[in-house]
Amino acid sequence: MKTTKKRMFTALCGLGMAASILAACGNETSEPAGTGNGDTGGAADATPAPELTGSRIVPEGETLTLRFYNADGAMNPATGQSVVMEEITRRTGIELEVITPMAGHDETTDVPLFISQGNVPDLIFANTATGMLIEHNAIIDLEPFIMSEAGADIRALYGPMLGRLRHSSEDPRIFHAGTTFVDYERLTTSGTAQVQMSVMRYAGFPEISTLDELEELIANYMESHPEINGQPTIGLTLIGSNWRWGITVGNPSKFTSGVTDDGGWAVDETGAATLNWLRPEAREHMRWLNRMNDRGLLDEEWLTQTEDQYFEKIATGRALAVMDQNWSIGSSQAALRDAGLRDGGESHWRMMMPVPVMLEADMVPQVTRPTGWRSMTGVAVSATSEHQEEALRFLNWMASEEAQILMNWGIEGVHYFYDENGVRTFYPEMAEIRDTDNETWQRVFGIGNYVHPFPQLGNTTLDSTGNPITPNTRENHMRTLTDAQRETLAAYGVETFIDLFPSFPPGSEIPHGEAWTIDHGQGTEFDILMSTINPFAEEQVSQMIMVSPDEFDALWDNFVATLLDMGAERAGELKTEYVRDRLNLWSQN
Amino acid sequence: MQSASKKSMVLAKNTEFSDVKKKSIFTIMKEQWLLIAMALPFMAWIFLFQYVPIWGWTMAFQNWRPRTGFFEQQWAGFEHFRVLFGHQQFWNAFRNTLGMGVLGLVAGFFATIGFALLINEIRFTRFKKIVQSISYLPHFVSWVIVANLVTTLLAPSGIINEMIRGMGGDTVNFMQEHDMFWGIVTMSEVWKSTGWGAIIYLAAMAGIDPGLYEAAEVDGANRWRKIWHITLPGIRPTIIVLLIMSVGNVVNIGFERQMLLGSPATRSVAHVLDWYALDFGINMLRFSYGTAVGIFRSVISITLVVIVNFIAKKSGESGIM
Repeated sequence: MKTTKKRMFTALCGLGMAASILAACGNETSEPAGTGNGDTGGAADATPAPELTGSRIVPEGETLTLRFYNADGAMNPATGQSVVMEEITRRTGIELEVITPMAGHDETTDVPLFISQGNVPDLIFANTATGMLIEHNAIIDLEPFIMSEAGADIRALYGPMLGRLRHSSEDPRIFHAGTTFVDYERLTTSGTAQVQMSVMRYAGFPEISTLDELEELIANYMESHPEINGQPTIGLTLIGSNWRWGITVGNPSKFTSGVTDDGGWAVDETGAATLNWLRPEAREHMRWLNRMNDRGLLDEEWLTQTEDQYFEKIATGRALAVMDQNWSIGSSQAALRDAGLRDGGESHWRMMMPVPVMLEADMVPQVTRPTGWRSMTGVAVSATSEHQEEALRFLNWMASEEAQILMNWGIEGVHYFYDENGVRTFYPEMAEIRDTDNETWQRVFGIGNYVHPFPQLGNTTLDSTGNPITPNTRENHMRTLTDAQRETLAAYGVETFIDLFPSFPPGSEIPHGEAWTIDHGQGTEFDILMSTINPFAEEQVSQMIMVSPDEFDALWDNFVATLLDMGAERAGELKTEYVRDRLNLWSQN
Repeated sequence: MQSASKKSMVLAKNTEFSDVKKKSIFTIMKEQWLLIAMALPFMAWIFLFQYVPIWGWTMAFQNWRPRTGFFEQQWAGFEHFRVLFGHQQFWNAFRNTLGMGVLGLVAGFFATIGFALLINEIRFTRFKKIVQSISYLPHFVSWVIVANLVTTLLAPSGIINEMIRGMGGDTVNFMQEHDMFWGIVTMSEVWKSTGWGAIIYLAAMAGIDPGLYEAAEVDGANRWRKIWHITLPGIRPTIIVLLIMSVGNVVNIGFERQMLLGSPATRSVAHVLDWYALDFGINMLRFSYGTAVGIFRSVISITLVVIVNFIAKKSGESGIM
């Protein structure tokens, strides 16, 4: 017994030594073998890299598994195998092991764990937690790679916008490959008030521009339709029971007074930031919600309902209006679209359309105003990865035209073909699946599923064949409209719903992009201030929506005074510094 | 039969006690080596998982950074505690923790003992067993599900409000009322843990000498009398030990319940210490600050246990220390 143990120990020691010697030798002999990989620092290949052909990242016949954390994985299921993922592996030799947040978790809980365990995945899309990774040197500077020969596809994709990937003017390194569309035409609006088309039809398709008009439409419709499909009609529904509070309650109170999407802030042209709650317009918006509540037009469960309840109300057509982002209510809208195919289009009228309603008729909606390209977040490469080299080259490959077409269109000869005019077209049976069977399209085929959060080209980009790089063009958008939508649009005399909103001339881009995309760091003075102010404001504002209208003003005065006590002005100064830093950084590039 | 065995146990205890004085510690260890060997794994477990982690408390006195050796850490002294005690949110969280902890303790205490007494009075054995089994099932249901049940029941369109409206009352939006939040958390905890908590009392009650009940019956005592004069005194040591232990846990109430039942609307009454440590510690990567919160909580726990133990001993009970 004892001798066996001893022997095993010796053998293990020997193995360990052999391995370390081999590794040491490997390091010495792995001079760049003319593959033009550039200096990426410390990727230890034991054998000299053999010649790689085509899109291969590892030699023919081998596969390498890279761990990829996708913070948006739960929302956008870029998980598991699919036809496109298999093709990616076949072409590059890279297999992705996708890690997504578990239920109840998100990147802000996962990333600290990765960091403290020293176990950051090879490729990581940390979204809002990217700052944490930077602070702890857990991800590498991508610039040396991007500027090297091997990073050509990333350079080509971003073009002149490359400089906007830089972190800040103090730390101008590039930590992630931004996932925002490059060259993009907005096809839809999102985040503003949206109302059922049946409500507009009932009222005779009026042109409305104020919240008060919207209120009357809802009130009239509710009065004449107290029940929808046997259940009580709900006027406006919101969801205030979790983080969506900010999306459905906080943000709309800025949009309705012509403020751009700057998080909890209103930022002017000079970059000066004011906390939204200190603006009189925010107060008026909340006064409106308070009145809606008082009149019974606001869902009485808005503050406490679960997401399931909220989505169910929209999907069954019971809720007449929402103030939410399209990505949020997308599944509920898809459910109505499906239902409409079965009930002769009646459910299609229960789908939402955006309406440009403001506090005052002379205010201009900003939702269609171009934000200018900003990198926000994107995929980064782990500093502790053993496969940095491969991860970087995979990231570059994902930015290539070949990969962009594969991810957006699928495989030539299987999903699409080029017709006699050289136009890239889906096979008719594939187009059918695309329009009607999202499950097969996204999960089984995986088409469109891996575009986000990798670098992506937008819907106005043409590839080397002269075809749009993504099938989601304006033409396609109009092709997929339902009859109900067409009828509504015809009544307003426009082509798509975005035409109901003002169009901005070129050059009217918001100079700072969107202020919510600025990283403020963790545990900074600003972070601590806002972690105190935000929950307080959400709670107070929620309560004020529910009180009787004659108590509203006194409570709001008191609320503003407390905010100032809590340091709202100091937070504003800090936010202004952050915004001006970005203005400064962007003016240099 | 039972009383006889109890008597012999007392006798054995006494003789052992007198033996201790005579024999040296080594002799005893030699005699009881088997018992000691059996206890060793558990001692090791406690040491490894309860005492070794205390070393991590050093983090609270550093500006701890991950993947950095102990000696390269930067020391911060009591800075984190200074910031902590100056933060108004922290005191709010402390108040909420104490509030819900004490409510949970009191309600849980009376509910479990009361329930155990009721079960104990059931004479039809099969029914008793069924009731007991059903009553502790909620213990195995996750808080996520319990919170969903509670939210659905108490929603404006939920069954409770249907009943209120049916009786002519106005809809109450329970989940957004500040004044009701602690009560809702406490009630859902009572529902979830009463059956489970009663098991230990039932076990203690089973150990009471039936002869005592028979004698009381002969003396003409009714059920209330028997409960009051026999059952309750019989389980008194158990009650005291469990009470002392649960007092120590008053500030250890976790945060799942508060997080799952709470919403932005009730945040100021739901934010408890552990949640605070999460928000202002780990989520901001201020690991040291989070640890400081943990230390504060542990110190409060220990202090409470010592105080209650002292009171118990003073009033003639055995205590746990």
